[in-house]
Amino acid sequence: MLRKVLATVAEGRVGSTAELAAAIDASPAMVEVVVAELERRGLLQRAGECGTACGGCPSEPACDPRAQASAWMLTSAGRRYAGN
Amino acid sequence: MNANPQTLGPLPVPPRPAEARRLVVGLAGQPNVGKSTVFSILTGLSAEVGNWPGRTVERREGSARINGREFHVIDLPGTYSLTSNSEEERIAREFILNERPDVIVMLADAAALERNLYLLAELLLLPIPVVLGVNMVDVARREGVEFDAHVLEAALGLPVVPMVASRNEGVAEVLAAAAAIADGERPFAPDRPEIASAHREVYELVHALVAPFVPAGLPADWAALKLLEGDREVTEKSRQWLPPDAWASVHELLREHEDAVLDVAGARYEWIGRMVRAAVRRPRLGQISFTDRFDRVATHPGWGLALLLAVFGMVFWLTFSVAGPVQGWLEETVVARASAGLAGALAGAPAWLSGILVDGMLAGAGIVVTFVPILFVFFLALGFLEDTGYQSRMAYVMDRFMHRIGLHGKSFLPLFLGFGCNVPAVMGSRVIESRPARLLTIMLTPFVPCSARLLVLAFLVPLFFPAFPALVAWGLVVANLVVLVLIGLLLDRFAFRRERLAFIMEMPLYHVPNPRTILIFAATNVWTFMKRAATIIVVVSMIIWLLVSYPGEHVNDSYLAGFGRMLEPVGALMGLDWRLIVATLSAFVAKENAIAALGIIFGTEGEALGTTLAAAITPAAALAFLVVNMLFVPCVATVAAVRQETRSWGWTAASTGLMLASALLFGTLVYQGAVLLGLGGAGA
Repeated sequence: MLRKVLATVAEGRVGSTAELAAAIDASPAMVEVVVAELERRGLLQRAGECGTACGGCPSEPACDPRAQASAWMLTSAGRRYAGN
Repeated sequence: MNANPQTLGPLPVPPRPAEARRLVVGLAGQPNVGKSTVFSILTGLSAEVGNWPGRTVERREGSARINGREFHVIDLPGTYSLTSNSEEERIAREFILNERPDVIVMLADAAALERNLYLLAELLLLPIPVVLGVNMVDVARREGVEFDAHVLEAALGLPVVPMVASRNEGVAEVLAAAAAIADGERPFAPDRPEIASAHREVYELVHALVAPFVPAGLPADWAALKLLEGDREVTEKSRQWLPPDAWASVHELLREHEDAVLDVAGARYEWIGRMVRAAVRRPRLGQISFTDRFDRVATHPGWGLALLLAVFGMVFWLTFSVAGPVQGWLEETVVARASAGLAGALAGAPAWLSGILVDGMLAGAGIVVTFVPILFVFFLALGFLEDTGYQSRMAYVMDRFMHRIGLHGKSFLPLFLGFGCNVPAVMGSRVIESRPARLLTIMLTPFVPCSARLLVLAFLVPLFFPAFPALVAWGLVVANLVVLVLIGLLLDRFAFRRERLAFIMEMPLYHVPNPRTILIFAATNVWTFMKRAATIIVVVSMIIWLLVSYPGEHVNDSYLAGFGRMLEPVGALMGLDWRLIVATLSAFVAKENAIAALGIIFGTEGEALGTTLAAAITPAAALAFLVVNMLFVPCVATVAAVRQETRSWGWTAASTGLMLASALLFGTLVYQGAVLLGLGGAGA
């Protein structure tokens, strides 16, 4: 399952978790759990973190990228594993 | 997937004596599954609280009596798995392996079995029988999740008890099932997950190498799987258990097959998927169907982009048509009256004091006050988009669009995260492996119009173009997007050579927005903006007033005018006189300062700022001014992020220089083009 998710993401055929669920024939809830597992194992990385750098910006609360889009990208380990 | 029953060998259930002896039960589960509630119901006042030996983690245990049978219940720390990632996980597995309870009762949340069963998959590898209590079935039912306990029991091969612990339903039953398992009255023949075939052979090799040396009582198959999973503790201990040559062979195998973890954990998820598919029904809700239907349009490469542009236009139209009149009213009544009142009160004060307070401080504060309606409506619109679930589609739509026109979007996820803020966009570029490509992406990220720039646009456009502000603002955003597409095209062709950035996005279901949530979102954002922006705007306003008031009588003889005139030869290319140049420069500290600077430099003398500006600036110059302000050097935080990510002052300077050069280039092009179109005459 993890390998299938990594490979599907690496192929770039899917852009959303819903498409991913359909592509690997799993439920959206299952995909959510697997993505979290891959993130925990350092194979996927959440995009859009800004740490404390946005702290002084007057627009900070309105532009939290996590609120706008939760996105994950393959890490270098993820890319390596996906290629195996 | 390979998940055959008994693949790791059946675990022998020890024969029980005829008399009902006290049973030791370990209560396991992930956090927030109702473990504490069950423990409290079972043990009541007998519960004792201490610490796990040598640890700071709380250990709770107590006695329970069900149907005359006594149980000693130990509440294990809440854990997601049994890998040695945390203190809690180490405690839970050490307890099971060393203290050997008679039965483990594992609790799971009925609405989140996919997440919860991972722990069960790990527990089943240990030599203790397990009973599964599926808690909160009432909550799951309300969410539309139905599960069949009999089917799950048959699939898992162990007792499954539905529970509502908060109402004390199923609690006694789960302990009775535990007793039946421990006494051998109920079968325990679990279907255990097995490592996937890709690494089955490697598993066998590792197993053969470690089995003779694993301490008695520790399952060798468990140790072998943990080694393949990269479990730190088992790896360290194996080094001690194994003779050097066996360890060297194991180490070599692990090094060669570091991706085996995917087949160990992956097989567990396959197993979970199979169990859940068999026993859980999640009816397709109306919302899901609506989401699917609407997303066919909203995430379509063509229609989705059209919708996105329409949404942008609508946000601006709403902002201008609703907030514009309120803003005008505030300017003409509240701010003008406060100004007149303060000027009257300071009639006898020295001119410099009256000037800095009325024309500097109050003018700056007045600008801040007139921001409120614009901000409020703008944030209401953003809150609406976020609360409905549409906002997360924006980056997705742009990515699909890029794919459609032949770009593979290597840099576009980081770029489009910049719609919220350029800082995470710059930081997001670190996923791009090639350093030249990453540097290029970092350089180009600040071109994305962040929300602060959109806000300034929302404020300035109606001042310059009161007749059709929504159209102009929309046009500027679209033009900015076109610039981005061109940048993407260049990046794709010359930097990335059509490489792909693999990513997935999670898009929430669409739902009916909650007015209260949106109002709170808007109010919180306006308040935060006011707090953070007000101080700097007022201070910069006072400084600008001082610089435009001295040393001469007239503003044209001021220090600021002198400075601005030095730059006029460059500004002239874009139709910008010294006043517009210094207003632009003041935005370097904070984008919002450009507005306050315009107010003070142009000195409205009772008239609305928009009227004064419209009379003094040609439409061509106004357009060029807006373009320059959209593309000008980004905020200080973005510059700092560029420095952090590039680790180079040279690249930071290059990024700033690129923005400046682009602002000059596009400002000039827009101005000269607008003049050719006859927009160089007076009055916007």
